[in-house]
Amino acid sequence: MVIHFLILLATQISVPGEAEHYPAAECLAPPRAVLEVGGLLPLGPGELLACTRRGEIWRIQEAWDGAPKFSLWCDGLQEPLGLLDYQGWVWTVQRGELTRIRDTNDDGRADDFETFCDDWPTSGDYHEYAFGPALDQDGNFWVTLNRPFGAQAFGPVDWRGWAMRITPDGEMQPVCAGLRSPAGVGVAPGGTVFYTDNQGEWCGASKLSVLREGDFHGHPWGIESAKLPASRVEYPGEPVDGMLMPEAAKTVPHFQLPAVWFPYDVMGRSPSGFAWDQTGGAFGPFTGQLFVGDQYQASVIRVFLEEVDGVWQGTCFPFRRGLVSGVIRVAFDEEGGLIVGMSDRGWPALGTKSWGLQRLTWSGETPFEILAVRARPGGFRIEFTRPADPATLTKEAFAYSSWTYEWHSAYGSEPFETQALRVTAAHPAADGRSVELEVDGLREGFVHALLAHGVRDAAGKPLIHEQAYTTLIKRPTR
Amino acid sequence: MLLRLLSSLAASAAVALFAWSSGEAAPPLDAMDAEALASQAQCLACHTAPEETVARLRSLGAPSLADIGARVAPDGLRAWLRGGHAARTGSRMPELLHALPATDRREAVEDLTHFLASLGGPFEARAARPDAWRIEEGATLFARLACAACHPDGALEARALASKTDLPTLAEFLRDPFAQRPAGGMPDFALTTAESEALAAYLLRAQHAAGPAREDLAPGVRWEYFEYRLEGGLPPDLAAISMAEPTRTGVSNRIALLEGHRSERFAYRFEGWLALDAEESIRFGLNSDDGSQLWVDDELVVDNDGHHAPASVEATVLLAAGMHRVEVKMFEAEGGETLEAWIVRGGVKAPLGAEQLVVRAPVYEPLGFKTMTPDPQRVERGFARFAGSGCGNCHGGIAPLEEARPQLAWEILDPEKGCLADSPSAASADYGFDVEQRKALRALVAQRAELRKPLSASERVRHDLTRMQCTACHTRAGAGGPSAQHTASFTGEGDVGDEGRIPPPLDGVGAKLRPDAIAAILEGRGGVRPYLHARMPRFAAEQTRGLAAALDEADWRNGEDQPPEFDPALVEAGRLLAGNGGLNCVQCHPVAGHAASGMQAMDLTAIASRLDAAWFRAWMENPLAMRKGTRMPVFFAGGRSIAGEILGGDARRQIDALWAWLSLGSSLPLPDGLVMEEGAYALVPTSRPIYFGAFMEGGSPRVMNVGFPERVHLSFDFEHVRLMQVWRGDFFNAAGTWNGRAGALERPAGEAVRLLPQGPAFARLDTPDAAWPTATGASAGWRSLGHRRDAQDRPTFRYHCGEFYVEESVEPEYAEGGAVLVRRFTVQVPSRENWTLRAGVAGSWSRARDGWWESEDGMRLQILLPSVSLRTASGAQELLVDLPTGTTNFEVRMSW
Repeated sequence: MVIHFLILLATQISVPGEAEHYPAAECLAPPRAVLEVGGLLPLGPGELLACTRRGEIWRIQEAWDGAPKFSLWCDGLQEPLGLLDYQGWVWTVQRGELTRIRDTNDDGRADDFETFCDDWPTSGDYHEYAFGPALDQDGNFWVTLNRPFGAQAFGPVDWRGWAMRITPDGEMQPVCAGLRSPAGVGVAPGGTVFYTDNQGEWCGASKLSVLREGDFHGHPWGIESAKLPASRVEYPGEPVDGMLMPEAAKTVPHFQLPAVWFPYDVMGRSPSGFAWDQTGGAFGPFTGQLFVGDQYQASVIRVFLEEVDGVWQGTCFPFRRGLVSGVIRVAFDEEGGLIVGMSDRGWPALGTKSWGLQRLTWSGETPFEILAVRARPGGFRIEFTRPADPATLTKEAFAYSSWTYEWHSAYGSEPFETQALRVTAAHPAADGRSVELEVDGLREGFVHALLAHGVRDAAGKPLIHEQAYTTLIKRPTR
Repeated sequence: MLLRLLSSLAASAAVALFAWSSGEAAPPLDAMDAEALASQAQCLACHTAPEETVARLRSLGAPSLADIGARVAPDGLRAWLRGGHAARTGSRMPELLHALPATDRREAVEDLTHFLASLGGPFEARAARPDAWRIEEGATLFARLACAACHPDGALEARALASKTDLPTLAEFLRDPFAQRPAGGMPDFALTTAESEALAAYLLRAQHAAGPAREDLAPGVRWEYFEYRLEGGLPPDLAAISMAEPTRTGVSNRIALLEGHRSERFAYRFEGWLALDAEESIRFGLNSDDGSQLWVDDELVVDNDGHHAPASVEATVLLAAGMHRVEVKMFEAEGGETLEAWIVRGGVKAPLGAEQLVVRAPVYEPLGFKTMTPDPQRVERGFARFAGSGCGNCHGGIAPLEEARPQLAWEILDPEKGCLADSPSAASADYGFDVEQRKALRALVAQRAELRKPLSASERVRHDLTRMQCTACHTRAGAGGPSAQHTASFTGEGDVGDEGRIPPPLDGVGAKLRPDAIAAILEGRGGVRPYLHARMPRFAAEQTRGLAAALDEADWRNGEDQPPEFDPALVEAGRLLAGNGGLNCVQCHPVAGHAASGMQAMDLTAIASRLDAAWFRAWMENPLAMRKGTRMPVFFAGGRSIAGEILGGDARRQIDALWAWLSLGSSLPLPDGLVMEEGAYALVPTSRPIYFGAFMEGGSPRVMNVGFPERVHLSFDFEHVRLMQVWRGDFFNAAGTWNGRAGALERPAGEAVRLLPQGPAFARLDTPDAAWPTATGASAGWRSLGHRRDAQDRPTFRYHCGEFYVEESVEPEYAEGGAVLVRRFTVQVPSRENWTLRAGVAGSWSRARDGWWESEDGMRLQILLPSVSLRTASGAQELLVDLPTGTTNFEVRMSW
């Protein structure tokens, strides 16, 4: 049943109810502006900066009024893939440097470009993207570096596949290794640094992971750099080709499991930028949750995170499909809209356009969704955005299965050790807003997939999305 | 106003030299025609004459007979010799066996045939590909190039040609005619291999109709092209693509993406055979986007499969002696695409193609071809006849006869005797002259004193234009130009009228064009009228020597006009005038390759390097006076400009401004109103600079390129922390960085690319002869601080090494002949540190009178700081600038 449902979802372009609750407005650019968005920086009502893969930064005003005004703020950057507003400068990461930029004479054109840090090397390979910066609570900048795929025209270099922390003095600290294609990096409101990675060789499934000094995320491309003096990661040893992820986490030094795995195709194929909903309800009922773009699926994924005994883990939910191109960046504006920047260049995506800029807003009507899935010692607590009919919150209304992935050199991992789990009891809250499920056979280091197929609201309507994928790293003891 | 004298040569009937055949009644001929005839008949190959006479009667020479036996089938030789004038359409070759009785004559022809066949022979037809489409292409080309202007009865010649030779031989001649006609009897049309093969296929089409004699191996690769459908997503690799039913197939000279493939979802398969004399270890390589593989004898050797951006893979394989089948497959999914294949043998890398591989191909023989083994006795007799008849006086290429000298002095000839007798004697040559021709030549000989006078410039021009048949396409002084019959065969692109299809008249051309421009055109480096289908050929240097000067002298008359002094302040006005807010030149004239909005006439970047400034002024003032029927509009009727707002509408100043702007050539700033392709990847700075970051060939992965509207541009390398290169003309095509997954190594789109010396721009030299350091960038202590852009978006790069700080601004400045780049430095030199700028490195530097430094390779530098010194280091001269401590501002201007 679960499998059948997964296939059904994967072939759906849009899900009924998504666009009604979260309509999208599109900002149509003039011919000169090719908005292959690499970074977004909301500035005020209808106003933002967008940097593009063509190395330009555009200032856009009245973006959502149907007649946007575009002006070129600067050109000539090398594939900038992030924007940050800090200390009176606009910060971005180019292929080879962390740069800060400003317009000193206020003529609408940037005129001062300072190299803040250019200590990581590039080999001249198209795949050597650098993502960021993300600013942590201590004023450090975080940058994630892709591994190369191909020519490396200027010869192989160190530190590819690493996460870098750059101190306020501009010192580069190589803090995490084993990244593959870390297309998003961000700092949670509480200060934890997260990144997204794209499935492929040595990365069994796309994921959201915590970046913590000393951790190894599984990809061996750049691990020789761990032997260099600047490394803050212990050399993890030769990789073992073919080991279950939970096993690798136990045996490989500092091997870090993700907080959330995004099952292939059903959730997306290539997670990218992400943003926390801090709109205080302006974007709907998901305050505090994380919204993650997916490039292939032209979609936005929703993530609920919780910390259990110091370990971050969580659940991902389908949220909004049917955007016009592959989502690279998302950013909340002050008015509570989620700006979505897109490009499908090089990696074809669902959607009708090669690139684009859209903004999702909340219609004001609360969608009937699973709000959160919280791990319990013997099962899960499921919370809803609005009351369900308590009579439908029975154990038969829920189905669970679980699997994990393998750490190996081949591209992506099939689910391993898949099991259907028995929901042995359901304890609904009287107000219908939550239910405690007792589930047999929970396994740490496994994805626990929920299908809430029997849940109905007071009007007898099902959930917009009945599925949720919880990565259980740590089973709470109480 | 026009200060040049147009040629006053009398109009005379054009002599279609190769059109006439013997016996045909020709019109009365004047003295100049008689000289032309004597030139064609090559009278002075046999007769010695005074120097001036030789100059007047010089000829285009006869073909070299070296290897004639390998180039012409025996029957072709025989027919040529036996058939007399009737068999030699288009040739002025005389009959030398005319006095022999018929039997002896047949024997003599046979002996000569055996002798000639022995030169490089025996003739053996080679494999070729005269496919029907190639013949069609050749027919189109024959018409487009207006070959019929000189070869009017092509059909007749085609039949004769088809029994003489084979396609590869004829194609080789067309491609390099000077090899067989060293004096330039046939000019060089710069045909590509494909063009020459197509023309040869067309001219020899009768052989194709007769069918191939056999099959043989020919250089090339067979290709199959596939357009596959998308079923179940993009194919991950080659194995996913069926190569059963090609969309198109053919044979090519190279393994590469061929013209006409679509942009996505296609594949290629190439196949050729590699012949090895001995066992050999061979390295093969493939660079492709997306995947490719190379197989040898069904074994996978190079595996570059899968979805990817351009990526290279090489592999080495040990192959036994013998034939090996080499197969290359390639597919493109989406995004960018490329394919290169190479082979490395004995350490030498070469493209994998027709130079290495062969395919099976049909062999077409000359019509009625029979092999003939030269009979040694006949060869010997033939050689004696050849030498005795003086054939070698005209034909070179036969070693023992190279020294054969002319015999009779021109000055003592009897005009009624010898070759000019009514019935030429056995010792003379029978040219088959008709009565009029004979009359004219007799008069020429009788009045030979006239021929001792040097040619005037205009006579010289007329001689040259006639001899080289320039007049087949060009008119001058009312003479020449395509005949009524052939006018229609001249065609062109688009709607540019007769100016767009018929080669330009040469009236006053010496006044119009600069002598160096004329010389360039004669050397085949003209090419400013891409809309003409007819092609200006290159002539042998010995034929055109002195012609440019003669044209200049013939058409020039002294006057007061001097070109206006270059005034940088007029450039912008000129730019505005050319644009759609001014005279709207861009309606008809493309500029720097960017299309005009209407018809596509001559590109304006080419104007100033060709035209005389005074001619330009006269042309602008009244184009119709300069070229009858021109479509060029009259902008300045009555001395007032139609663009009244610019420079007060003053015609003279506006023309000066246009000239100032045009004189910048390839670095002129683009006018408004050109058609810029939307969404294309060409980066064209117009109103302000464009910045473009890229992986740069010869630099690093971190290079910022700055393109200026003044059309001079630079690259700054942030990794090596230095100005890397400068160039002119077009700025960049960003496709390699902006299309698909991109990441290509980029190179400038323009011309005159100058790499700055390797290594850092500045260094501390411990001793005066310490070598300039090679290490630069972070490893040598250099750090980029970033850059700033001024109000016009011009860059200032900021960098340092320790306590030594540099700010380097670079901006263009208009100057005569093209904008220069000004490097403006502010340096802070710490006390107790000696820093030096290396402004330039070249084989040698010298100081010009204007104070600029000039290198032997054409770089000019002006250094506004006194402490410049020159030193020789590792075979080159370095131009060094020592810097004082403290803060110093100085400039270096670069012109190249």
